[in-house]
Amino acid sequence: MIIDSYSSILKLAAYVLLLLAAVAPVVYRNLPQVAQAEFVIERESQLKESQPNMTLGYACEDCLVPAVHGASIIEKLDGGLLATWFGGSREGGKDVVLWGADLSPGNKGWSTPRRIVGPAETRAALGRYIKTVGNSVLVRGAQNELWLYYVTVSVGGWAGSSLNAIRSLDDGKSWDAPRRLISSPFFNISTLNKSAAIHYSDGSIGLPVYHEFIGKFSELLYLDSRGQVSDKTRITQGRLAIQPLLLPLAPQQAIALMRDTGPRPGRVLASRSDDAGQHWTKEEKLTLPNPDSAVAGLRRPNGSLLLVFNDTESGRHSLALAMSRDDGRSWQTVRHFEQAVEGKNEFSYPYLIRSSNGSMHLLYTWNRKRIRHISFNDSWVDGGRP
Amino acid sequence: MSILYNALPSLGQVLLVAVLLTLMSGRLVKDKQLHRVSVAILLSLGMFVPVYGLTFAQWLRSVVGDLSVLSLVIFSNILAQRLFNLKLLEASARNTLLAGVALVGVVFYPLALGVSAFDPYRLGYAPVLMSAVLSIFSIYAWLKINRLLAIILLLPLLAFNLHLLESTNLWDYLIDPILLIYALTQLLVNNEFLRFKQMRAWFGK
Repeated sequence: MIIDSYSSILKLAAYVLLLLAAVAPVVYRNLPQVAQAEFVIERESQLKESQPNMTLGYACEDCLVPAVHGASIIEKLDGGLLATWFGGSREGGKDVVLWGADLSPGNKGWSTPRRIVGPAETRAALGRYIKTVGNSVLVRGAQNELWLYYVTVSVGGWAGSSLNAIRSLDDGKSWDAPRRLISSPFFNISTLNKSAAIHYSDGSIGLPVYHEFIGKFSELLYLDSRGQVSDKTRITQGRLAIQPLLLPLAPQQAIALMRDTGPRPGRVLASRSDDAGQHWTKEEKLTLPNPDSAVAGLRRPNGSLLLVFNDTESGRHSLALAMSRDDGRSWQTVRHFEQAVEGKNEFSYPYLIRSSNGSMHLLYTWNRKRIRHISFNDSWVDGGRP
Repeated sequence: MSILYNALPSLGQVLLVAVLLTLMSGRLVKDKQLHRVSVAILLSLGMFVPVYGLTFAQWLRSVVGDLSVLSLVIFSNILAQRLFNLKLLEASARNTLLAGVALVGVVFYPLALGVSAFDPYRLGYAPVLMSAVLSIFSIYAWLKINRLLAIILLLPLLAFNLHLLESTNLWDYLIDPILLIYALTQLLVNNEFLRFKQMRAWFGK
């Protein structure tokens, strides 16, 4: 009887220990998060007066492969630029890899494209079949390390996408082995990235992503200093809005501008957050047209917003720049980068950054054959002729 | 660390391939000893012999991803039962677990795939609430249902704390689509939805 009683007490004690070991670490790690991180915002300032400047070029004019798409760009620590894009025989082909090129400070031309990562390296690192690679986004980490988040597909089309990450500690010269991000509970499929990441005051990164499986919706992934997913919020639901571009307006406020995948005619969609991305308003249609195509943009130091978009009801043959001075409520088209006749021309997947010297750099897919690079300054945007 | 990091996904691959082989070969090979040997041989081939650069297990992983901890428990039970006539889990505990998986899964997956603005998957990233709920179920199971089930409910949390899968989300340690499909199939095939009545009885109607 006594032995039975001891045995029961021992079992109970072992169970309680197990319970504590299971629950205590979760509580310990997550309860201290009292202060909510805020968006990192460039301080408001007047734009510098300078001569209007706009330079046309290509990040890759001879891209070494027949088809290229989905470019990303970032400023390097030495003030140069690094661009990545995917390319191969065709979009979704098994020979598609991620390419990269540099523009060194003071140089006019980009380096010859070099292979960064492809299905083979990803497959070897992850122990999985990888059919192809897709969109990539370059992100500067809190310790000045460089991250490249990119899409891979194992089975099916883009709906079967997963996100992966590689890290560079030498500003893009070499990269760590690929690592997989788990961002969906359903076979971890259907997460893609397209637009630039945003930074939080605690050093974490907000990576805008979207899903294209049963639903077509936008989300914001939170990435910690190790590049791991630490949280996520849903920006939209249903099947209407993808490829979110996030523009922080104030430490707690942001606007998400999205590609319209709903009924035609499409409009650029907008959703807003007043709590640093924790919650988002229902998407609303702006007056800007959207032919089911991606947008790019940024917030300038004077608070105005810029948006690069296809200003057509259908087709991607025209690419324009719009500006908003009221946090994205009203927009005015101020410039055109491309205005071809409707037909086979395609100018798509823009990606826009502002470098530390105030220059803006736009990359986009030029007829799926080249990656166009256009740099311009504030004076050119604000109306002066170059 | 990398060995630890890969241990659970590798175990998942072994178990999934072994269960598939066991279920498929069980109809062809009636002799238990021969069945075990044939599964062992086929499992070795599936785990170690590459086909177009990847083993069968890796091809499978390419499609289904990593299995949850509860899948590992259920699949271990299937193997023990089919190959060695051992029951690791009592039928009532197994059925309760599968009924719970089915109940949670049919609500969880549509919401996680974007049906509504509420995303239950988000709860798994800083899972204080989920751990509390799991602990309450575990304590209830310890006191009222089955002590092994109580411990099994804590295993996903322990694995999550040790980051034994690629995922940083507790849901991926608890449930996966393969387990949901298996749970729904078992409940339908065995007409075990009647067990829900038993669950209702346990939880005070």
